[in-house]
Amino acid sequence: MRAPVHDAERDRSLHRRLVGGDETALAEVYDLFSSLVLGLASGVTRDRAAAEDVAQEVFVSLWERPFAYDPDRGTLRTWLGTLAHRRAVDWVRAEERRRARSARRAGPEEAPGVEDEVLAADEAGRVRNAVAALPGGLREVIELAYYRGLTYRQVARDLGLPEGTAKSRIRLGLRRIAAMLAEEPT
Amino acid sequence: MNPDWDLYLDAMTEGGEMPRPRRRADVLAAALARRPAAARVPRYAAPYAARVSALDALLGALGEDDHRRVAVEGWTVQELVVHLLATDGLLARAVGAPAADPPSGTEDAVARTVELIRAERGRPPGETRSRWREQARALCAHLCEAGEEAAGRRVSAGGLRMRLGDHLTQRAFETWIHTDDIGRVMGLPVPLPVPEHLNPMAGLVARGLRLVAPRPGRLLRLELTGPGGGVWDVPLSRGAPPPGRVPDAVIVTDVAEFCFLVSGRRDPASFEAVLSGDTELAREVLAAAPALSGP
Repeated sequence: MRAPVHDAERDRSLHRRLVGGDETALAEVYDLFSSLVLGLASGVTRDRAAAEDVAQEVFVSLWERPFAYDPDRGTLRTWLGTLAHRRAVDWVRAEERRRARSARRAGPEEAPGVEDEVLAADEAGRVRNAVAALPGGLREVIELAYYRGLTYRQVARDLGLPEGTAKSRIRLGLRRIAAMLAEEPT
Repeated sequence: MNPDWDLYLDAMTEGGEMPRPRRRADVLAAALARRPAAARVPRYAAPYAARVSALDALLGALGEDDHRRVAVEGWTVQELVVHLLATDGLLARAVGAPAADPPSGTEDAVARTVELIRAERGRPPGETRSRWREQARALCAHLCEAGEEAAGRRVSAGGLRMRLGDHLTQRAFETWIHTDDIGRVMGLPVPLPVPEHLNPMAGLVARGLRLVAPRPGRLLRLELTGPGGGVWDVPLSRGAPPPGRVPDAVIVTDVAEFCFLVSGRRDPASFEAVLSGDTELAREVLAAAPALSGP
């Protein structure tokens, strides 16, 4: 879904300011995306302190190397999300290696390695389970918006809802999904 | 994009985890410890301070060998940085700010660059970058002390006599264009300056057109579009035009593209602009515009 909050012009303007060394732009980026970056990092690491470190590293990296992000090639949200995910996976792998080493010292048992694809499939599965667990009205709008690629206007038209209602149902659905993803996986 | 991933990002944006409030200050402090913000300066020098910060960030993204690549006009990246150091040094000396480079007899930016290139030869690019950055910082610190009022002071530097504010706008312009040159050769697109910074640069080059295309008694309207643009009525000779005077020719074009034309980075023959009135005059001005900037 291309929601209006993903404003390419806003990203471009923030990027110009970041490149020009305007620290208030970094504060704005942080306020817009810290919940996304921390949520993603927590989801992968399952460790609050590690997730906070990852989040810090992601924002510092954008500030220090603003040319690594190119607004012509994607949104800031996707770029930050991808970087947060990658760094969080790196942390999990380092953690697995550390555990494997101490397991070897303790006994013959080896901890399984974490592969990117396995983790990705696992996350995709959790996202889909969360969608499936939504109440009918919310599930419907999320499926139309994300798995059929409709804008919220089209969702409203398809379901005969006022646009404002479609929009608020999508947001509510997203918040429910985030809450479900934040719970420990069973 | 993968819909699961897209949904995941949106869900986390909407209801990810709320960071603890004190983390915000920690993150910002950690960021500034790794890359300082643009120098605090009076308003007229803000475009310059921002361009210095941008170039420094770009240079930080380069490897040692990248500094030896030819960027523009036969100069390597390192030599372009020396050129900026040389020209900033001339202005620093003229306003009484500490100068990073040894004193020199010449006031000419190119001659000074050639001298300094000789002096910097064989030095690691990182040292050249530090020297340039220190010079820029020293200039900014000096301007900070001089305050907002100093903008109108007439200063001769690098062969130009103009108001200090205009000197700083000119330094911002040149630093931007060379940052763009370096980004181009590295394949790293350099974003435009923010509109509030681009606007005075466009104004300065607009006012300068009479120097390269003097046409006594003629008035040109320059309508620069896009963020940071504006409309300038430019007399092509000394003195202000009488109020209400209808321009002889009008050029409408993109503000950033016009800046690139003036800096010699666009070909006047194929330059996209809408001309009206005396189009012959407009074309002459466009053809002469690149002469406004040196290297």
